[in-house]
Amino acid sequence: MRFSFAGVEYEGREGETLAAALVRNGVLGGFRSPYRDRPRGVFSDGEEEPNALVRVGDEPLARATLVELEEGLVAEPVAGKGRLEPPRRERRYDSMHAHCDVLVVGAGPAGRAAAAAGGGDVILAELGRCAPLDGVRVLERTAVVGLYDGNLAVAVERGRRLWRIRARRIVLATGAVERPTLFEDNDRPGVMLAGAFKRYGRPAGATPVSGGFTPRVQLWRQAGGRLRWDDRVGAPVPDGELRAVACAGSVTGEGLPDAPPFALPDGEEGRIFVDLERDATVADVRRAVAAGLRSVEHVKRYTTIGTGPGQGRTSGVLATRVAAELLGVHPGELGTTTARPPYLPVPFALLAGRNRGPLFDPVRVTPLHERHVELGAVFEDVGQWKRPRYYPRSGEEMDAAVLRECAAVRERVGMQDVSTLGKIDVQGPDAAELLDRLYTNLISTLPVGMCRYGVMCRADGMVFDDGVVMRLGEGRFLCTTTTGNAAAVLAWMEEWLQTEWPELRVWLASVTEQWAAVAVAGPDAREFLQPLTGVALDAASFPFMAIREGEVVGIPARVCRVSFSGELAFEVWVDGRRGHELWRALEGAGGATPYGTEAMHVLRAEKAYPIVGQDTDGTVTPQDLGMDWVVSKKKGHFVGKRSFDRPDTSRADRKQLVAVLPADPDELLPEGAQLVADPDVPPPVPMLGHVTSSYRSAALGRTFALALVRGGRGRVGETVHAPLEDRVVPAVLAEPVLYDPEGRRRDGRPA
Amino acid sequence: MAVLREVPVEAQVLVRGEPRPRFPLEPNTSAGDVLWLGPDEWLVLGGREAEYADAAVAVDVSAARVVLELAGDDAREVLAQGCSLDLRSGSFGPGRCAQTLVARTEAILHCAGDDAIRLLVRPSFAPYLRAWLEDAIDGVRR
Repeated sequence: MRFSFAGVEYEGREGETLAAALVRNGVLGGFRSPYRDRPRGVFSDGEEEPNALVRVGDEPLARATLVELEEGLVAEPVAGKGRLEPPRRERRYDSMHAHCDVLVVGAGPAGRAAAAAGGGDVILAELGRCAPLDGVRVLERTAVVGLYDGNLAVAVERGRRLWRIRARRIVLATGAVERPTLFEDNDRPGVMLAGAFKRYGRPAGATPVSGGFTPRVQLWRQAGGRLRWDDRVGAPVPDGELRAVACAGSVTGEGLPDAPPFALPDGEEGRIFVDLERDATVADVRRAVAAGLRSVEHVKRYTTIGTGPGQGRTSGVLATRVAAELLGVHPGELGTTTARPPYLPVPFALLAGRNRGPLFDPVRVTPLHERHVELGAVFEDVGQWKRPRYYPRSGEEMDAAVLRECAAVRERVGMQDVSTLGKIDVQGPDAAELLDRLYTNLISTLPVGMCRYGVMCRADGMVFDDGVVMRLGEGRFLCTTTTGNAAAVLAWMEEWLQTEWPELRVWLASVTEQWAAVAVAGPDAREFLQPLTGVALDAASFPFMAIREGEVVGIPARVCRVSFSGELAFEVWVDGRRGHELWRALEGAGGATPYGTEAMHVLRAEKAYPIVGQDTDGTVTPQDLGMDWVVSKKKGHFVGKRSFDRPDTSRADRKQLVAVLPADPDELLPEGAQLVADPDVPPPVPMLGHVTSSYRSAALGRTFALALVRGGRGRVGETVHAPLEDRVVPAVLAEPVLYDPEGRRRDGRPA
Repeated sequence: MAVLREVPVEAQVLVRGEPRPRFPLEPNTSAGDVLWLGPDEWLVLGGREAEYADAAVAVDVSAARVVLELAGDDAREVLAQGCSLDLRSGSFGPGRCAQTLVARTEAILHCAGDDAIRLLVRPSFAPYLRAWLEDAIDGVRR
């Protein structure tokens, strides 16, 4: 087969590596060193190769000794440092989990013997090619690159598949790597390790060298194994035992030839190379030692020896021996460097695997999603959910669409998919007690068939989540949470229940997706919905915060009179599988305008209903939000109560939620804008607070914002300034509730 | 080659408290359509809340999970691409179940037969899990 290297075509053979083919074609050089630009050539025939680095296709830094030839392969030499470029062709990287009784790493004689000995399910991983073995799962061309707690091995198969192998026992038969020797110009092309020289067929013009063998102890070290210096081998070998990891074969040092005597050679030390990947020489080690460094870890950092892609595979022990010689100590006294995963470089693309593109992260959608798409909704990400942000009509910009949707809810009736709200079923004789302890307000006094707004704080008294609590029975509640916090709130409740109050007889269940829910909101909500349901919707029969069971458009439903806009509103909950049918029937009834999260945000902000995570940031108490009323004065204890008595949480100058009205009613403040009293004082300008929400309001006929402002409630009426990039915007602080502060619209259009 | 399909399940109920007759007691096992999820927690496929009125707690979760089934002699290999559990037939044979992660979503796995593994997943995650499984089937085929 044909292949090319550095623009020259050569003849290759099936099953040959690129390095072998180059050497057989008489190419002993062809590479350059990374820092000194010295000529280099193939030095080894294994994964320890320091010189023969190539770019092959999209692989920016491959070892020619590991690249198998294919027809038409094109390789370019790389001087030490690869350059990552956008892939020219899509390559599939994936991952695989496996479990086995025995994992053997390395298929040399010791590894094959260990695998053949059996002991249950056996996996044999070999870096190169490997003949099949009866009853053994063989993974050839597979590099085990990491060993982790619990006998977890991470391996790379053919550079394309990441294996996570959980084994009861691991046998390391990783063998040993030949060491170079030291002499002047020991880096020149043609100098190669003696074993490679033999296996390459004693190429003409090449010079074999051998300084003995170094056991490949990296995985043993990663597993937590100790080492001891072996004078006969002239290198560290595994010492002691590990519970589930054992070494076999020459990695133990046994069977390796005696190391030749070691001495510093004569010659120019700046041309006696210790680490070919870093162009580091005996002179560099001498400088490090002269600077007072004695530990090999320090010598490594000073000289960069062992920090190249090969991580000291051929240079580590050599550097230790040189330093010991210069210091006049035994090499065993200098210690060893730490071996960390990965043993061989792993491409990021492999670690990403299939978690990219459409599979990068789950996209969660509600049962009504398809219809939102049909309606042309523009979506926004809320956690992993896609929620309709607004529904533009043809030619309509976002601002116009949102103003139209807001106006529909304020003046007529709108409908919104609110299925993403977290929903937790709380049941048991002590359910009310649990909720009393977790919410800041009293839940136990809630009558069956009614619901109540509730706030949860962390132990530090800061708002954690809010939602509506429904009492469905004496011992049965349903708590809603914010969309993004559903899992966190359930975990929070379980934590208290399981670790602090196991005596409470309460059981929790996530029912978020059991229900699809549609909010019908606006002064005409009653007139719109009444013809579609047998549930009496008039104010006397169905008061604010009441719950009714019945049918809506023929579907069994739970209807709740809750409002996140200040308007008369009903939430209709049905079995999630019938959500789409409900929405279509409501649409079909005509007259209700679909509205998205952006309109919802504007409407709730006009009423100063905070959004946890937008108007709060983990440093905000219910009192800061102006919601003293939601913090019970009667309850003996609830999570966060103690913190409300801390001096810091009752300071008068805490940041408090207020409304902000820019002087220019068309000026939309950016969310996050800082607010200051006087923009003209020299820096540092004291900050008063920041804008948390900012919108255009159809109902107010102007822009407005919510902000957390130091002592804000006491500053209502004051003018503050928002210094923006190119101008300073004056604005007046106002009471937070800008729309219908008397709450007259809650029951419908005021008379 | 593994085949993915959705299994229609009309009703599901989560039962908490004391075990009832025919409920499995061994962790991570099933008895018929009753799956052990915890020491006091079972999921009854086909069960309805009203049938368990005398349990400590029964919650209708009929719409809370979609049931997918992956069948074929390489079904386990498909799943192993994104699930760290030991799925070998000796460890996860017929009648075994587990709550775990598959790729980036939670799922309940239930081994319904020698070469059939069911995945119970939240409906909102189902499109993702389907797409992931179809991609993984493709990965095994290569």
